[in-house]
Amino acid sequence: MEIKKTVSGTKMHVAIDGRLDTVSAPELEKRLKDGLTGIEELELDFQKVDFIASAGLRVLLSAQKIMNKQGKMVIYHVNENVMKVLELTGMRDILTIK
Amino acid sequence: MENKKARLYKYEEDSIIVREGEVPKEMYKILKGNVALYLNYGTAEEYFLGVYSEGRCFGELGVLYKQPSSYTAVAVNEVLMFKVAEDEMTDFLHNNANNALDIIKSLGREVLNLKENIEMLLDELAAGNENEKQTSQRLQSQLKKMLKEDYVLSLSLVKKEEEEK
Repeated sequence: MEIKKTVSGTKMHVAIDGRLDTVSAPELEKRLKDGLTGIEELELDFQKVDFIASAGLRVLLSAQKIMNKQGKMVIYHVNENVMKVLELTGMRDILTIK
Repeated sequence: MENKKARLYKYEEDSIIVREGEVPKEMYKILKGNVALYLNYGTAEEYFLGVYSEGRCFGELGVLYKQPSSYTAVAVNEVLMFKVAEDEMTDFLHNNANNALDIIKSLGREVLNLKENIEMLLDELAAGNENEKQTSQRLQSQLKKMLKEDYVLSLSLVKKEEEEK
């Protein structure tokens, strides 16, 4: 999995490429936690995320909880397979997806 | 911490509502907020199952069948819930037809959620096997390359020695 993170002022854009699974999720968690201080708008680009597992969902929940306190988090370009997982696990209800 | 007011309970963010392995004495219906479900919560083997939101019921297996909870339920944010004990179930269902529908929907979604979690685990296992296979192939390839380089190096050393002689 590759993570491309760009920060502009209080806005952070994170593009993820690959599977968000048990192996890769801790890396994303670390990259997010290291840089979320002072961020008011977090954008996650899922265009190249083709699979998400429990560990990935956990990272999204954790990031969402942080961003609920300091701004907003939006996930873009979620593909059909990932969306199905988000819906069935109830994550769709707490995330902002565009 | 829970704040008792009639049958309504409020849980603060990160409060544990139900612990895995314990038999819930009441069924819960979420009126406001979100609840996250985990296996092995707080351990290195923690596994996130999903999130329940408004209208969802849980703990019904404990109330109806005295079954221990298979997950730990944790408040994602401030959660307002309605608790229903076993002897209140009939009234709960009788007073509002939507309650019965909510329980049926919750059980249905739980089945779908379990199916999805099984599929995710299988997919991860398959990917894990594939990763191991790829790693093994990569190591073999690197090893062959190293052996070849060693062989070439050995050959050049022998050749150099012969030339020096």
